Amino acid sequence: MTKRIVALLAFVAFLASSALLLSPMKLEVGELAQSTDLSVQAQDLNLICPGAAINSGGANGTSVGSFGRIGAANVTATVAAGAETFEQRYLADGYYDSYSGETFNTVSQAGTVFATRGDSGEQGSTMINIGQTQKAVSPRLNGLLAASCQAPSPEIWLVGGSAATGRETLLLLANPSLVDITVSLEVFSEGGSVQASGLSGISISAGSQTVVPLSSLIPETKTFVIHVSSSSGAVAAWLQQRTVRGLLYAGVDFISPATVFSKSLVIPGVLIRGASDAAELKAANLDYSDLTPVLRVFNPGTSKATFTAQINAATDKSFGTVIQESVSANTVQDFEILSLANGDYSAFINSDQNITASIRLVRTDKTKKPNTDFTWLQAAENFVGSRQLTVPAAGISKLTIANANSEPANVAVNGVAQVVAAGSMVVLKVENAKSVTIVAKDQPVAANLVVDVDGMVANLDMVNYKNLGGRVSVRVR
Amino acid sequence: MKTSVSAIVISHDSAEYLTRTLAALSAEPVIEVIHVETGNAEPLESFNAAHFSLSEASLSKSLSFAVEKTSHESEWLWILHDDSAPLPGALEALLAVAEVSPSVAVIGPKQVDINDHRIIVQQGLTLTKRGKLFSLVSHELDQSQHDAMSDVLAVSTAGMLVKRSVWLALGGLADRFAPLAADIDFSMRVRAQGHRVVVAPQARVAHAALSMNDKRKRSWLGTPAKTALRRAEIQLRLSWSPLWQALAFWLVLPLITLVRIVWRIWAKRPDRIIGELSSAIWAGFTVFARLGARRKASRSLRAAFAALHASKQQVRDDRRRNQEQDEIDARLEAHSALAERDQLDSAAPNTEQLLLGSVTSGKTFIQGRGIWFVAGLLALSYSFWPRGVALNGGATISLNQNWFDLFRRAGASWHPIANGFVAPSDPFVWVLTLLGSLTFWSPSLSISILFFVALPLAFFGAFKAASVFTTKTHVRNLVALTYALWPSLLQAQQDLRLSAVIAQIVLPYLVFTVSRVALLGKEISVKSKQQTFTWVGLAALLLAIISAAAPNTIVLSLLALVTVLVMRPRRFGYLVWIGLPTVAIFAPIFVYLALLQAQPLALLADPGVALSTESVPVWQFISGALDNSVLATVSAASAFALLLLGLLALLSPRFKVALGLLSFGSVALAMAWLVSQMQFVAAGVGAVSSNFVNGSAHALLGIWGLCLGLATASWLDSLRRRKAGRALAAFLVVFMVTPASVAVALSPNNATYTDGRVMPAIIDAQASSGLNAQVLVVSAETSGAGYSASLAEANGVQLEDLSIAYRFALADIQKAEPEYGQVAQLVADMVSANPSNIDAALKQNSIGYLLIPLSKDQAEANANAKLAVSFDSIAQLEAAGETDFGKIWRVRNLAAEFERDESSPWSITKLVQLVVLLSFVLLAIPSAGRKRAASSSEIFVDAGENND
Repeated sequence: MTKRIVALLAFVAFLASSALLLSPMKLEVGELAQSTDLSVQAQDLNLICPGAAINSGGANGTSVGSFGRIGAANVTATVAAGAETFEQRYLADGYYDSYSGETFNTVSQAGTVFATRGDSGEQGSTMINIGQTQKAVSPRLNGLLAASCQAPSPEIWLVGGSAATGRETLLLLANPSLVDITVSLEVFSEGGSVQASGLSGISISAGSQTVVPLSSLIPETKTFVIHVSSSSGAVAAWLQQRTVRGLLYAGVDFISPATVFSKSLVIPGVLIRGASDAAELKAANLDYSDLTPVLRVFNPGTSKATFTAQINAATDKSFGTVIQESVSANTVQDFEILSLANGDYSAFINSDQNITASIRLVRTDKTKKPNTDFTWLQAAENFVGSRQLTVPAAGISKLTIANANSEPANVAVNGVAQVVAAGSMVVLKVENAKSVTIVAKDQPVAANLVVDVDGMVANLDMVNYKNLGGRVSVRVR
Repeated sequence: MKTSVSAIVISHDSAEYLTRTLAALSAEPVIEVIHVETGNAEPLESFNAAHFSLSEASLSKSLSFAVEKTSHESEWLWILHDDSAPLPGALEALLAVAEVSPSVAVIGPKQVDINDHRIIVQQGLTLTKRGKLFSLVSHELDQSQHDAMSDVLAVSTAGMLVKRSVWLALGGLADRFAPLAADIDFSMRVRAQGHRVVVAPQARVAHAALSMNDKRKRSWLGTPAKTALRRAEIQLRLSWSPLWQALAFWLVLPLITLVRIVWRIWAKRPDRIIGELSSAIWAGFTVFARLGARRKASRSLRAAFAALHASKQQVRDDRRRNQEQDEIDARLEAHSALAERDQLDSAAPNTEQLLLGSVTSGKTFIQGRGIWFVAGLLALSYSFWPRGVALNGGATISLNQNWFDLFRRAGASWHPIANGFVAPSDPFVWVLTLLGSLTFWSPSLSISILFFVALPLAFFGAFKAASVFTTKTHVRNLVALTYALWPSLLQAQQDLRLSAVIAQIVLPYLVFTVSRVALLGKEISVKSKQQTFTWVGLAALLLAIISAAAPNTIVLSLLALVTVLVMRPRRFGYLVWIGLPTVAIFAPIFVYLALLQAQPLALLADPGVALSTESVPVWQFISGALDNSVLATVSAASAFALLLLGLLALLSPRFKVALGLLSFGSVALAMAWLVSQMQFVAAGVGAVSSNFVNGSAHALLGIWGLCLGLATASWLDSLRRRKAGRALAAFLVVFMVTPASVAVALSPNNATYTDGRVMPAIIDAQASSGLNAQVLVVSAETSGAGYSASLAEANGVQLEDLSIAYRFALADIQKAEPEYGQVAQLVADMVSANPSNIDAALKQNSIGYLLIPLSKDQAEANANAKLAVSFDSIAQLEAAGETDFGKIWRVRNLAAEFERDESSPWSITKLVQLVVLLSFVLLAIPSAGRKRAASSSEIFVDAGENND
C-alpha cells in the first residue's frame, strides 16, 4: 500500500507542480514568408468639397423635399510644387482651373472636385490640403460652416447632429466617380441601432450629390451616429446641422467624418467663449438649453465601454473637468461638459473599449445676431511627422496642438519650435489665407483649427489625404 | 541373394542430427556409408563411414560426388539427409518392396516426426492440379491408415532408395533445378523411363525437416523455405509443361504473382508475399536457365502423371488440417500468453478447455444497451445534423466534390499551387480520400456526417477499449461515456477541427486492436492466425490514420508499440507489421521536411487549415479543455471528476495497470503542453487567420483522457463490493457525465453548411465548363501591414489542396521564383489603383478573376473596402458583384488560356503508398474461415480478477 500511496502522491505532485510552475513559452517552427515591399505610384487624389450650405424647404421652409444652396463657400487650399490640382466644378458649370505650388482661394457653390496628380511626390496633406468655409447669413440659415474636403471612401462614420425639435440635420452624400453607387445607412441612437425605412438602397448617380433629411427619417432623435457604407464605390458624406431658436436661425455647421476609433482619443480646440452669456440665455429661455458644450461618445463594440474624459485647460488660469461614464454597446450618448469657464481646452479620453467621440462647441455672444453658433469637433488623428492645413481667409483662426502622451512633444509650426507639455496643448493664432505646417518630431500629437468669424464658429480637421501607394507591402502565398 | 546397398548421407552444418543419423545407419545392412559435408562442420571420424567435405556444394552436386565414391558393386543407393535418421528395420522394409517389384526404381520411406514417431510428416510427394507441391500425408497420427499406399508421383531424397543404375542413367538430380523441385523432377524422370516410384510405409525414417522449418543455414536452400517452395513450383511448371504453355505461363507470371499476392493478403498470409515476389523475379531473370532444363513428356505420360496428382478431396482435407493446426497454434499461443502473466488460477480454463473452446465473456455492445447511449449522444449532437453537403468553419473546409480529383491529390508529389509545387502531399490526404470514399458521390458529405456521429463513434471505440480492462458492462459504458464527453474531443468538435476529431475517434479502436494483436487484456480472443492478421491490418490502418490526422502523436505511438513489444516479445512477428502503412505514407514528407528542408519539427504541424488554439491555464489544460468559454470551463471542471478517479485507481489492486496507464497518459499530457507551445508557420495555401499558429494538443489530450478512463475502468473492475462500485459510478455520472452533457447540448454549432462550392457560383460554373484561368485572391493582412495574395485554380482551394510542405517551403520558394515577385508587383499596382502596368502580369498568370474574401472583422472590412474601391477604378477589371465568398471582379478581355505544366499525379511514392495501404485494407477485411462447430466459435480467456 505504501508503494501505491507514494505513486499517487507523485502523480498529484506532478500535476500540481505543472499547474503552478509551468509558464508559457514560444518555439517558432518554420520561417515566415516575408512580405515584399514594393514601390508603386498611388492613384491620383480626388478630393471633393461639399459646396455651399443647403437650405431645405425652399424659400418659405415649407416645401418638403426641396433643397437648394445658399450663397457660396470659400475654398482655401495649398498645392505643393511638383503636384498639380485640377479644379472641376462638375456639379455646376464644368469650369476648370489648375494650380501648382501655391496657396489659392476659390469658391464652391454646388460642390467641387479637385483632382490632384502628384507625379512622383508622396501623397499627404503636404502635397494637397483643401478646406472650405462659409459665413451664412440669411433669413433661414445663420452661422459659420467649415469643412475639410474629403477623399471619398466606401465607409464613413458621422458623429454629431440632432433631429430634436428646432434642430435639423441633413445628410449630404456625394459621388464624384464615373459609376453609380448605392449607399446604405445605419443609425445608432441612445437606444442602439435605429430601424427606419429609407435607410438602405440610396442610389447616387455618377458625378452627383444627394441630400437625405435625417429629421424626417429619425424625427425627434436628439443623439445619433450615422454609418454610411457603399457597396459599389466610394462616397463622400457630411452632416449639416441647423439650429432654430424660436424664430431665430442661430447656428449651422458641417459635421465631418470621424476617422479615429480607439481606446485613447484626443479632441483639441475646445475654445470656450461667452460662457456667461450662454448661462444667461440658457436660464432665460428654454430654446437656448443646448448652449452647454456636449461630449458625444459612440461605442461600436459589443461590450459596454467605460471611459474617462479629461477636459484639460491650456493654462493655469482655467480649470478643466472630468467625466467618468459608460456607454452601452452599439449606442451613442451625449454628456454635458459643465462648469467650463472661458478659456482654451482640449479633451483627452481613455476608454476600455474602442470608441469614437466628438464635442459640440458653442459660441455665444448675446450682443450679436445671431447670438449663438456651434461647431462639432471630431476626435483628431494622432500623428508624427508633417501635416499641413490652409487657414481660411477671413476671421480669427486658432490652431490647437494637443499632446496625449506622458512625455512632452517637440513640434515645429511653420518652422517655429514649440514644446507641448504632456497631457496639455498649445493654442496658436495663425495667419489667414496661409498654410500652416506642423512637424511632430518625437511624440504623436493631434491638432485642429477653430475659426471664428464675427462671433460665429466652425472648425477644420487636419486630414492627411492619401491614396494607397508609395510603399506597398504584399505577401504572395 | 543379399542386395548390396550404399548409403549416402549429405549433411550441412548439423552435427547433432548427423551423429544421430550416422548412429542409426550403423545398425543398417549397408555395404558402405559415404558422408559428404556441404557446410563447414568438422568431419566426424567416430563412425564407420567415408567422410568427404564439399563446401557450399548443392544437393545435386554433393550427391553426384557421393555416388562417384560409392562401390561399383552396390545395386542400390540409399540417400539420407543429416536430419533423417532411419528407424530400425527401415532398409529391410525398403528392400522388401524392391524385391517383390522389379519395376520399382525409387522407393521412399514413411517419414515420421523426429520427436514423435507416431506422427507421419511425409509419405510420398505429388503435385496438385494447379502445380503446387503436395505432401500426400502430412502431420497425421500414424494409425496404419496409409500403409496400403504404394505408387506415388515422387518421393523426397530424405530416405530415398534408388537403383544405382537408374541414378547413373538419369544423371542424378538436375543441378540447374530449384532445390526443392529436384527430387520431384528426378522421380518424374524415373517414371518417364518406365520405372515405378513407390513408398514403403513399413520403412520409417525420423525426419526433422530442418530445411522446411527454416532451421538450416540459408546457404542450403539459398532462400527461405517458402520461397524455395514457390520456386520449385515455377520450375516444375516451366520444365514439364508443353513449351507453349510454359512460355505463356512465363509471360503471365507477373500477373499471376500479383493475383497470388492479393490472395495471400486476403488469406492473411503476408509472410508469403516476399517469397511470391522474389520467386517471380527469379523466374523472370533466369528464364533461360529454367527453360534450359525442360523435359520432354508425351501426352500419355502427362496423363499418367495426372493420375498420380493429388485429388481435390486430398487438397481440401489438407487445407482443413492446416487451418485446424493454425487454430490450435493460435490458442496455444494465447494460453501461453496467459501463462506468461502467471494469471491462471484455479478458476481459469486450462489448456484442454482452451482447445475445446470455453467461452466466458462480458456482454456485447448491444446486450449492454450501448445502443441507447449511442442514441443519447446522437441527440446531444443534434446541432451537428448535416444540414448541407459540406461543412465549413473552424479548421474545416470543403473537399473536392469529385472523388477522383480527391484521389489524385493523395500521395501526390506535384501540386497545382502557383506554377506547380513539387513536394509530397500531406499523409492526411489519404485519410480524406478514405473518408470521402464513404460518400464517394459527394466526398464532403462524409465530413458533415462525421461531425454528427463523432461522439457515438468515440463512445463505441471507448467501449471496445474498455473491454480490454474490464468485463463489467456498466463500467465499459461509463468509461466510454467519459471519453465521448472528454473536453478535448468536445472542443475539437466545436472548433470543427476535423483532424483532431478523427484522431480522437480512432484512438480507442487502436487500443483495442493492438490489444488483440498482442494478446493483452481481460479477454483474449483467439481464433486463428488469420484472425490475428485481420487485427494486424486494422491496427496498422488505424495507426496510420491517427498519425496522419495528428502527427504529434507519432512519437507516443512508437513508444506505445515498443512497450507492447517488450511486454509481448513473442508477438513481434505480428506487431512489426503495424507500423508499415504509417512508415509508407510518412516517409516522403519526412524526407522532405526533416532532411531536405532541415525542419524536423515541422513534422509535428497539424494538417488541414491552420488554426490557433486558445491559451488556457495549466489546470484547465490538465482537464483536457482548450477554450476559455463558459461551457468549456464547465466541461473542464467536470473532467476533474474523472481525473480524481483515475488517480485514485493507483490505490486499487490493479496498481500496476493504473500506474502504467497514468504514466503513459502523463507523457501524453506533457507532450500536449509542449506541442501547444510550438508556433508553426501558417501562411500557405488558402485563407489563414494568422502568420503562426500553435500546435493542436487535442489528440494528445485525448490520449490523456482515455488513459484516465481506462485506469478508472481497471479500478472499478477490481471492486468486489457492489455498493462501492455503484457509488463511484454515480459520482462520475453526477459530476462528469451530466454537466458535460449539458455543456454539449448548449454548445452552438459554429459551422456553415454549403453545397460544397468554395468559389462564387459564376467562377465555379465557368470552372465546371472548363475555364482555364486562375483566381487572384487578395486581402488585407490581419496585422494591418500590407496585403496578402494567392493564386488559386478556378475551382478554388479545398481541404486536400492544403499542404504542410508548402507552408514550410514558402519562404524559400518566394526567394527563388521570380513569378512570386511579379504577382506581388501586380497586386501592389492594383491596390494602388494604378492600372498602367498590370496587363502583362494578368495575362502571364492567366488571371481571370479577382476575389476579395469576406472579412473576418471590422478592421479587415475597412481595409478590404478600400481595396474594392481601388479595383473598381481599374479599367481592366469589371465588378462582378458581391457573393457569399466575397467580392469578385472579372478581368476584361482575358485572351490567354491558362497552360500550367501539369505533371502526372502518379509517382513511385504514390504507387508504393497505394499498394501498401490497399494491402492492409485487404488484410483488415476478415476472410471467410472454416465453419466451426458452434461450441468452438471463439475462445475468450478470462484472465481472472487479479489482472495486474
